[in-house]
Amino acid sequence: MENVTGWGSSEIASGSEQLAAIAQARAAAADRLTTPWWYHPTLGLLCAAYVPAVSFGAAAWRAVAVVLFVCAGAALVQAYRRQTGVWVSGFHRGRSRRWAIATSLLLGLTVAGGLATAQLTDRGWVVWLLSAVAFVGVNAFGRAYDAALRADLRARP
Amino acid sequence: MTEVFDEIVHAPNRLKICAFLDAIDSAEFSVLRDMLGVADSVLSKHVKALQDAGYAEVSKPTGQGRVKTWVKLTPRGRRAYADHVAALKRLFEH
Repeated sequence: MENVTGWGSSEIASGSEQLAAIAQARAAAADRLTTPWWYHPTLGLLCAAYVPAVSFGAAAWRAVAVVLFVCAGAALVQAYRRQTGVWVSGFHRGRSRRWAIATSLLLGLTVAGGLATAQLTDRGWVVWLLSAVAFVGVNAFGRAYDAALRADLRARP
Repeated sequence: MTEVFDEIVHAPNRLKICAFLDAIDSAEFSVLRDMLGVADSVLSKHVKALQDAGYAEVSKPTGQGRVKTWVKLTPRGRRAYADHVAALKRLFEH
């Protein structure tokens, strides 16, 4: 038996089961994506330390700070993978992507602001303020990212 | 109808593997096994089928203690899965 689209009723039933299976797998992924409690605070601390590290000091020290930041970030990713058994790129499609972009922008702006402040003014406290903003922002945006990603995954495929 | 569905992706367990991996980026073997609720050998067979089709990559990163197997979709696998889902959705458009 076929409907007007040419699809048979058994094919439609099979298709319905397939869509249900996809939704089930995506919901399982959403359930699995429980970020360890230490992940965002640690990432926030890394970013907060990165802002003054690249803002103050000579160019050689900045280069060391960049290398340390990248290595620490990679170690954090490995720890996340080991604990959860999954990994999601921050720039996955969907609403969560906006939070990943916002976090990147926040880090870029706080680093640029800190660098400009330290190089052009003697207001060192502004750099520390930007460092605190980076810590709070990374934590807040990270949690918003998690919530948006789980909602994306539970939405229709 | 069958010509628009991807036969590799179509099998129920492989469809779930693809849906799970498409939702995230990569997963450890035991996570996929628990998600499907199947034995290691069954999952291995499906992962091998996806690998043979060029739809999945398997890696075993070393230097982290016990070696674990990680699975991810290739760009070709993501496209095949997306096309399959698009075909499924078309089924219900009318």
